[in-house]
Amino acid sequence: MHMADALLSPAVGGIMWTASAGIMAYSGSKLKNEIDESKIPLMGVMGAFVFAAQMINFTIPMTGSSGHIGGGILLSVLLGPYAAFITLASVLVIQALFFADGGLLALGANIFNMGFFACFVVYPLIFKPMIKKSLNDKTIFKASMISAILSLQMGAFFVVIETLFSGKTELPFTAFLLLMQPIHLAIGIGEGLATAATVMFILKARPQLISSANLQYSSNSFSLKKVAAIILTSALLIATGLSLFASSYPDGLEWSMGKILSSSELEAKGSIYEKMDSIQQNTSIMPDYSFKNNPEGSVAGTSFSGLVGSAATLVIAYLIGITIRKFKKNTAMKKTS
Amino acid sequence: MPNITQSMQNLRWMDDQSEKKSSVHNLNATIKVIASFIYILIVVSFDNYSFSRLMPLVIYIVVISQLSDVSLLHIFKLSLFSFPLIIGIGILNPFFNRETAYYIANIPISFGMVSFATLVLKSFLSVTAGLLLIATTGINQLAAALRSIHAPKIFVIQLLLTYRYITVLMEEVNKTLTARTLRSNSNKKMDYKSFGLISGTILLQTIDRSSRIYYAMKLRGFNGDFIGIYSKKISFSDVLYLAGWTLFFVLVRTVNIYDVFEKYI
Repeated sequence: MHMADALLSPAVGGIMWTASAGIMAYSGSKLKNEIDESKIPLMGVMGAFVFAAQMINFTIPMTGSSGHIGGGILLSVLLGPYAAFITLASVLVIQALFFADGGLLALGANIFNMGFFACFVVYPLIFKPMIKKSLNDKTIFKASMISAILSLQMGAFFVVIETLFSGKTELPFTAFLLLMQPIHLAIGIGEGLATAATVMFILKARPQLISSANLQYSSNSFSLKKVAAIILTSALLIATGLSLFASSYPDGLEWSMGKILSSSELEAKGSIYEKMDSIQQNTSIMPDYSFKNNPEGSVAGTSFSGLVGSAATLVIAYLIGITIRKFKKNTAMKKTS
Repeated sequence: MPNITQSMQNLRWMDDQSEKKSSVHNLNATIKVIASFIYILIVVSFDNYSFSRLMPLVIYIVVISQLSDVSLLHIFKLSLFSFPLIIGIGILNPFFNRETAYYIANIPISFGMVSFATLVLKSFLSVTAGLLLIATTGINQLAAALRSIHAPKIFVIQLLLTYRYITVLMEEVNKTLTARTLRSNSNKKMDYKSFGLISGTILLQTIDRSSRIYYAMKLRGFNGDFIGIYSKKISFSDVLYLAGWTLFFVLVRTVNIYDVFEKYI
């Protein structure tokens, strides 16, 4: 579910960075008061565990596909939501920077999509109340499944929303949604099963690890009201930010809709398009966001002169590279002689 | 995500690169982070059909990789891991937008094809810039940069610890998985029952390890802060580096060099 830089516009990327940085600062200040320093190494190695454990895949019974641990719910269960969010964020930073999984600008979006919903929405509102009633294998299994599926669905929905507002793909909103949600349902089931199996093992081997995590962040330090307030505030902030940005494109939207309808080529042979269009007509909550206006006239630049120019630029880049290498070699030789 | 051995090799390679000495490695980490961030912002700020206008930004990638002696080919290989998502989302563009943008030798090129190519190029540029930043900076300097921009202390410590223990835990996972494979009568696929046992056992070992690490850190004077990570002072060359590149990025963004090009051809 890692978003890539190329799918985000600067505005959406920036807003998501602000949102994640805000939650991170809040979590950091909470942890300052609540945890002792012995927890710090635990968070560190737990982050590394989540990273490494993602490489352990199992076959999902009755299907050919495989599943692995996601991290958000498991970390929340063992460390509490604040520490879990920070731990997950560090894992995502390393994945983005060292493994090209995500990107520098998309980091904010990724931390939000994968950390916020799991740690601050699903864990306190669903997982914890479910296992509080009775802590046994059955409830853990149910809670893990529901939590993993829900947090991934919310995350995937946000990926769609962020991509939509960035306007970087021609994929219409509903088509993208219909593509993303089922895929993440499958991933969610895999993650739910993996989380359940791991937590059930811990409950058998060292039950105090799970019960102590739940006692530590009891209802008085993490009330429903607080969670609701956090969600509402961040939702408002993000919505305001996104709508401010989106409002500068109303003409583009109308223009693009008109363009779709008037295109004879699409009407004539676009069977995929027609299907998607009919689904979209029936289910559309938001208008089609594809075929963005092209205010900079850059397509013209992609014509003949653009192509020649592109090739020329690449040659120039190559020549600059060679010059630097030669220059470096010469200076190195001068130094040694 | 790559497999365990590949991941460990990648981390090792990145570490080795960041230990190199070059004019780019010598720069202040915060400056490099800011420059990379501006670069990525400029890359993604172009619209969906700006394929050729993005081209001059390749110069930055080539210059940095040459100055820092980091293999561009290897960086390119690493960046391929990010492509499945981009291709998965972008591949449908040509189907959704079939209107012809222009013709190349009588072959119609649709807007969808242009936007797909632009998306792939944008992804390549932004991912490569990110990887080059880390290859020339390293985790310790990155942590110093994060502290200098006031990222929460606990997050920075957390990042360093996680990074440090990833290789340890990956080795642990690798060992366990090899042991399982050797005992599983060549049944490569792991079943659900064994998964719980394996991941749970590794998790418990991890938790035990964390308490040993804590004692070791405490005995060496750990008081909740990492000592010994300082960022380099910002020098004149840092300012010059940032100003120069920013000017170049802004120029590429604002001036359409192809218009200039067209005038003289």
